[in-house]
Amino acid sequence: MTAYRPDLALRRLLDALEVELIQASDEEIRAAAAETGMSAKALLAEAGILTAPKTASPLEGEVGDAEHRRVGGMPQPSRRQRRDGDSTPHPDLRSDLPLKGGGV
Amino acid sequence: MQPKRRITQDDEDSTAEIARALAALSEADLLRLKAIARLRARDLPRDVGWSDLLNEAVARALDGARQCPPGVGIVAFLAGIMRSIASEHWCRLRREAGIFTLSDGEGEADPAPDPERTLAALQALAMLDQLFTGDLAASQVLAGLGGGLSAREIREMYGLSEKDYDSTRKRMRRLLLKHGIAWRFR
Repeated sequence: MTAYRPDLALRRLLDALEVELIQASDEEIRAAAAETGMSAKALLAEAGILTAPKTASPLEGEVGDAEHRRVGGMPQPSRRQRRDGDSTPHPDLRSDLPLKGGGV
Repeated sequence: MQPKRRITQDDEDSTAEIARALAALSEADLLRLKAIARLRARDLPRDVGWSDLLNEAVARALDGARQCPPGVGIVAFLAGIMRSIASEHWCRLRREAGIFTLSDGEGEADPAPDPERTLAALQALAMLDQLFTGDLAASQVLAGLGGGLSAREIREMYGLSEKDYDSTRKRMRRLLLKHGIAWRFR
């Protein structure tokens, strides 16, 4: 008899539900957002997704290449820049994402 | 620790491509990502939020540590990274807690979980159950998916027609989206 493994059950479930979300139509997503009564930008900006300077995260340090992380809201120079001797921080690509300045 | 490898022009191009794809994400896709991150964060300890997970996935994608396979959309790519992060998180906690099994590091994907992992999984499963309380068919589909059954097996086990199954999935998707988008905590 195989022991019940809640961790494996959860993983299978999340994988299956994730597929549902990936395959959901844009119409379904817009309808769900409309039901919340908030704009998409506001909903995402609540947590500063893709926009806010990166603060310490519980997941920090799980990437071996941590030196590439942003510091103080500015990105570290890219690998090519470092390779070419350019250590000047450059504007963050992520600041050009659609949610720049997003709010209510 | 992953071995260092030489950075190539392809890596740089790939990172630029990811940045362009992120910048071009539609609002619907951003909300989709939020819902996915919310869902996946259920597989993490409570001190790890969905925004931590999503931000980490974006950082890794831009970092070039992960290459987007040809033909895979940016949303599916980020979802895959989030899945990996969640898995790595538990492995790291196991290492830090000094929990080792003979199979650790020898390629076994599913070593026996530690109590914290088991508790977190049980809580997440209970939360998902609660979400679909009152919808018997959804609860059945949920149980089937958790048991690793295929759609056909779930339909056969619970006597659901194809139409019932599809409409149940649609209801589940709608509820997941609504809650995934609107939940304002964690």
